[in-house]
Amino acid sequence: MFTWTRRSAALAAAACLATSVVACGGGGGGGGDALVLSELDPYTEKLDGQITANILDRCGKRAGVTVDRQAVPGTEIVPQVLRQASSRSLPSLLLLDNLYVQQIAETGALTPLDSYGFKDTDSYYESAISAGTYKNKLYGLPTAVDTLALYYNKEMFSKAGLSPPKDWTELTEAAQKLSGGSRYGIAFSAVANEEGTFQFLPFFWGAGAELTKPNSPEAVKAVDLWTKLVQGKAASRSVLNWTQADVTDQFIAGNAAMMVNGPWALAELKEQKDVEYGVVPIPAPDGGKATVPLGGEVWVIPATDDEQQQKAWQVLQCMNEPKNMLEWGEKTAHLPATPEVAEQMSDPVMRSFADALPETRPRTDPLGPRYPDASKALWTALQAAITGQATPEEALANAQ
Amino acid sequence: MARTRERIVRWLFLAPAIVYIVAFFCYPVVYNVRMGVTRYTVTSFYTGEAPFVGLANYLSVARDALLDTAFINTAIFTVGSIVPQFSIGLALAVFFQRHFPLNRTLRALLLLPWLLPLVVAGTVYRWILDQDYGVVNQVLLQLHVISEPVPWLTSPGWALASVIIANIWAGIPFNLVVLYSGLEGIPRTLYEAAAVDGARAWRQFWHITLPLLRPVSAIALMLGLIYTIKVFDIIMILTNGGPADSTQTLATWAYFLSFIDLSFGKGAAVGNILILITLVFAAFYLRSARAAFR
Repeated sequence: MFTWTRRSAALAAAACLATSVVACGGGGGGGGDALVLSELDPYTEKLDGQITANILDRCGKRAGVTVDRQAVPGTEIVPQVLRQASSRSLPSLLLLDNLYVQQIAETGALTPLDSYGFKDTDSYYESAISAGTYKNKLYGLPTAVDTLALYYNKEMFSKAGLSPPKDWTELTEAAQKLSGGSRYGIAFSAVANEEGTFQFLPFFWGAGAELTKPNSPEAVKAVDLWTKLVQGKAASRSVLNWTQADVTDQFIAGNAAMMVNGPWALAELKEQKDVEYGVVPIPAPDGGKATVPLGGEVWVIPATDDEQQQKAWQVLQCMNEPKNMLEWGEKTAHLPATPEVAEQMSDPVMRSFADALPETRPRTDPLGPRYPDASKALWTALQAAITGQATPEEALANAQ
Repeated sequence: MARTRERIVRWLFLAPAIVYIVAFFCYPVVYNVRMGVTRYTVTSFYTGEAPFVGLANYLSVARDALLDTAFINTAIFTVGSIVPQFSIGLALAVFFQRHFPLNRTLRALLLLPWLLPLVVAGTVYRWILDQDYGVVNQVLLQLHVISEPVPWLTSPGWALASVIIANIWAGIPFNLVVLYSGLEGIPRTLYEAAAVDGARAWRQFWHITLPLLRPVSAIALMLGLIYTIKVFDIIMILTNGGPADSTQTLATWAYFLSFIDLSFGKGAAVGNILILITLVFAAFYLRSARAAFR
């Protein structure tokens, strides 16, 4: 008996020692005189990260706080936020893909922005506001948004005597005509994740399909378009693996005459002096502009404590002042979230992207937190059809 | 009294290891098992509440058509990787037993794939196997072995094979090192005696090398199996589980369920199945390791 107690006492002592060490390691951070405001965003890239950090610093100073900025890659941010949510260590200010706002808001971890007296929703693009809204309350506010358009290589088009496509027939013909050798007519991303669905939505919505009814004839028509582009060798089979960044690389390398991509690709394109490119809206099947999805991140303020939340709101307000919004948008190649600021952009290509913004639609409309399931079903169907495992009809029937 | 003291000291030496195993091994496993029987959603992380659902996660995973795909792919991937890894590793180990110039240098070079992070190796393979601009297709086209570029990573028929090829390459050094050290342990005199008796190289290999290498081979195969069954990074980088789920294994599927679908309960269920399979092989490993070191 005696040995037992001694033994367990020693064990307990050792365990305590170990846990206290862990506890010490877990704490830390903070300190100093000014209040520290933790912030998390997905801008891991050096240039974008630096610009974000600069503006945050400036805004932090004005609010009388030190902003402790952290960046993790976009795909890692949700797992990170979930970990932080379970240990009650969410950052005070968080920049989240608008796609996840409703799912995270559903948990109760976010604070509605009207509690800080925000009413100015009218100056923002309508879809930007609705993407940040859950159950009639606004939780997320973007500084910048983005969307998709069709880039084309001016030199290749003029050599072939073509003009940028205005409907799907012209799109297919141009893509076919411009393919040959090691070049394909068009590049896009049909990768098996959200990026694939995001890129496909202009065609899906453009054809008149709805996510609530993924096996409609309109949806089949859209899947058929991409499938035929690949099977007709007007687009590489590698679209199945390409991310949007890969698509940009292909376009810059001259391996594709057109690409579906967002304004962020401009940052890279501008460094390539010898690629002459133009940007036009993605066409609908019979002409006109297709409805395009709204991308980009929104700021949310997690429930921390009152002082932190108030300061976070001050910083967020400062970030969204026209001057800062314009600077951030122009330098990182994203579109300012209010029409008023978007019009001030000096780059005409950026402005043509901004022209499409009134037609954008949030991906979560109308499914809300159920969008991710529909998105997965859609990219799965797309992959099945493009690989030839199923016809577009069969593939979409399974997406039900 | 002295005995008691000795016991305390003994336990104090053990304590750090026990604490480590409990905190970083037992706790996550128990947590994962518990997660597998709850409906663990995004909300559960914040509220900490996850309703108990019994075996519902396992049932819905079992009903999912992807389960068959993932099981079959995991089996093909594991066997398809280990058999060539082991055979090539063994051939190289026997080869390096001979004395020839640059032996050590070449052996060191062959270890390089082991030092290379799989993320880097995977990215390089993505370039090499690219359908349009990859070096493999270029060479095969030039040599007129193929008339059309092979869609290595973009056709459901080829993708699994491509992932296996990359993984074989990454796993050869491990087998080489383990088997080489095993060969070093076989007494030279046996070969000399066999040579005197007139046994040629091939017979020596079958009747001396292979039987005496059996304990070490068992360890190499078992460890290889445990490593391979859970391979994740190389598949994610090369094919992201696609195209059309054709390279989805249990490991990648568990990831997709948890972190893409955010159905953590189902992801945990698949993870637990994987843990169970690994445990079975771990038991075999321990048995063969005991035999080897006896």
